[in-house]
Amino acid sequence: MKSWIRGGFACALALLAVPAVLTAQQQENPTLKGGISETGLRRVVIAVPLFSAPADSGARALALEVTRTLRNDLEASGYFSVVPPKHYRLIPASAAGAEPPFHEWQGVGAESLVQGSVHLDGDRFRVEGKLFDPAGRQMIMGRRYRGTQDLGRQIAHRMADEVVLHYTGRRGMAQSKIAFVARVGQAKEVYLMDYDGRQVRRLTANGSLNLSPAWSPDGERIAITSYRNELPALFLLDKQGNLKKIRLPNSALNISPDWSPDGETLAYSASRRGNADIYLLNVDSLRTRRLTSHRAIECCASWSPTGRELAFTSDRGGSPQIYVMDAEGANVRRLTYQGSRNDSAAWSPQGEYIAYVSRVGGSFHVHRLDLATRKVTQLTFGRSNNESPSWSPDGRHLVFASDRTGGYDIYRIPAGGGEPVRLTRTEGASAPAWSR
Amino acid sequence: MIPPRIERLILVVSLLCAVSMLPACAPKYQPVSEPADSVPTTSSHDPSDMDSGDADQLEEITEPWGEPPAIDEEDMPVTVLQARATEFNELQVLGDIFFPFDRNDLTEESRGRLAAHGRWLRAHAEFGLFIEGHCDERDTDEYNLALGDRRANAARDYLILLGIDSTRLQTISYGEERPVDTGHNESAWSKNRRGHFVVQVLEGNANLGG
Repeated sequence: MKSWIRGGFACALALLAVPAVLTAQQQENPTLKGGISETGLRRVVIAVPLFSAPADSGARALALEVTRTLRNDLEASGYFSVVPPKHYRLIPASAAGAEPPFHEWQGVGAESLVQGSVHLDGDRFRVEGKLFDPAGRQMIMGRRYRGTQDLGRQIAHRMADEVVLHYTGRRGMAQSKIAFVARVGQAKEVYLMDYDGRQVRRLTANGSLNLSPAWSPDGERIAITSYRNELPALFLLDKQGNLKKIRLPNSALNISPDWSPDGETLAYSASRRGNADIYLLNVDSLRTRRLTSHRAIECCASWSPTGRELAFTSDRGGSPQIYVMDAEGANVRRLTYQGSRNDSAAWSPQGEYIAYVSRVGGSFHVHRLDLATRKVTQLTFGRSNNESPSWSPDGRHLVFASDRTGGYDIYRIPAGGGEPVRLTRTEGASAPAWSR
Repeated sequence: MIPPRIERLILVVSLLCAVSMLPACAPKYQPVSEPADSVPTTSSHDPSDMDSGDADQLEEITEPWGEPPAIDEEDMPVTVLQARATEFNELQVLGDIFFPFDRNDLTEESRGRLAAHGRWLRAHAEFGLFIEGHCDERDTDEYNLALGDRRANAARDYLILLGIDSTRLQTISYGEERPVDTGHNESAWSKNRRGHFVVQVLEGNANLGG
């Protein structure tokens, strides 16, 4: 071969190989950046074969539940694309102590692999999971969990979050919970469910109106407004189901609690003779402080993750709009200028966005405001009413209440926009609050 | 001019890189027809003695959020006055007043009705009022709680203006939570934007057998 043809051929191949090198690197270390990205966020292809179990029906049912939950969690996170199980059922499960057949897993496109097993352990079960990198032919990490059979989903959620943490450096949402309110006859009670809508359990049972749950940052308590003692007052709900009233100076109306990021202060709205304003309550000392004193309605505060500012609703301009002020109540600035009515602000966990609802064509729709660019993005569409957005802990998803089927239910949507996923089927669920 | 040795190196490296890229090009899915639920069986051999990785720590999983305590209901004895109050409310002797959308203004009709309520209160000194403020469904739940509170207080302030003692008048907002008409049109909404008056026995009179 003439030297210049050889040279040209070599150079051409080298140029072609450059993207190949990059892709190969991505395969070995498919670490992903977090944050909302409407385009270009490539999902890692992951395989989750059925967890193995000894020939005992209890363990096998648990293995099935753990596997399916883990697959759903990884797919729902938005970071992974789970290889459809039918494509790898022929790959043999590796014997205990042996390496998985990495080459076969690569053959079905898996860039990542989770293999696990379930064993009886006395009156409980032990679940073991291992995360593998088929291209690197190595195990990345292993985890073992023990619990009763009813906790299979929780174990899978824990594993999913570990995998997400490894790839993104951020906590996943699989273990997070959503508190919400559901109609029970004439009353409204507070409920809790997993992030995926499963394992619904009731938290209040006082037969009155229980509204607007708000999580403490440590997840130990939920603040609510309850009519349990006749007038709407603030209560704290704990994990044992105890409801404790907070003694506040204005007794007529105390609503829309929101917990500061350091867990020490509750912002809420109280009314003095018909004028609702934002107040702060120190949860330990029970001292209160008034932040706004405008004649207009001020309510529905949402703390920024820095704890230095609050977004809130005020109709001082003639209609409800979103404003921001600092934590002393000074420096009030209006944020929303599009749409006739804007309400229900929710500050994103990383601080870059505010989700809220805006009136579009006769009903409310969830919107996202980018605080840096002031760009507004509409997230829900159609003729339904959509209210109370709340962010996932990793800031990549929102839950909200929508009456698109006639009655209200809770839905989840990627914060970048997309198809909402229905989480409840009550036709009477509202006010979702995602744990932090 | 590229030296021949380097040239060969580039060729080899390029080929290797191109080859390593191949698996990502088109994942080769094998169609299978196995049943959905076959769980691979393991022996009861404990895999925990596998080396490598940090599988040493065993995490206990628990589920903390428990069931709420049961509802605690007390039966309260009813006095004669309380029975009368209940009857007044069932007969709706004090009618509702209505508000325009998103406002707590008192129309002339509302003021006339409130004046009548004032006269009733003067004639029934043992009783007070719980003034409820309600809204239609259209704004958010929480905003409507605040608006309902404004409406209740608008009615209260006017009654005080008419000379009724403020200690006889309590307010409560129900926002959009207690509509009288669950329709989704102005006919329903206009019925829901209301102030509602509940007769109650005044604190000091609660125990009077009368």
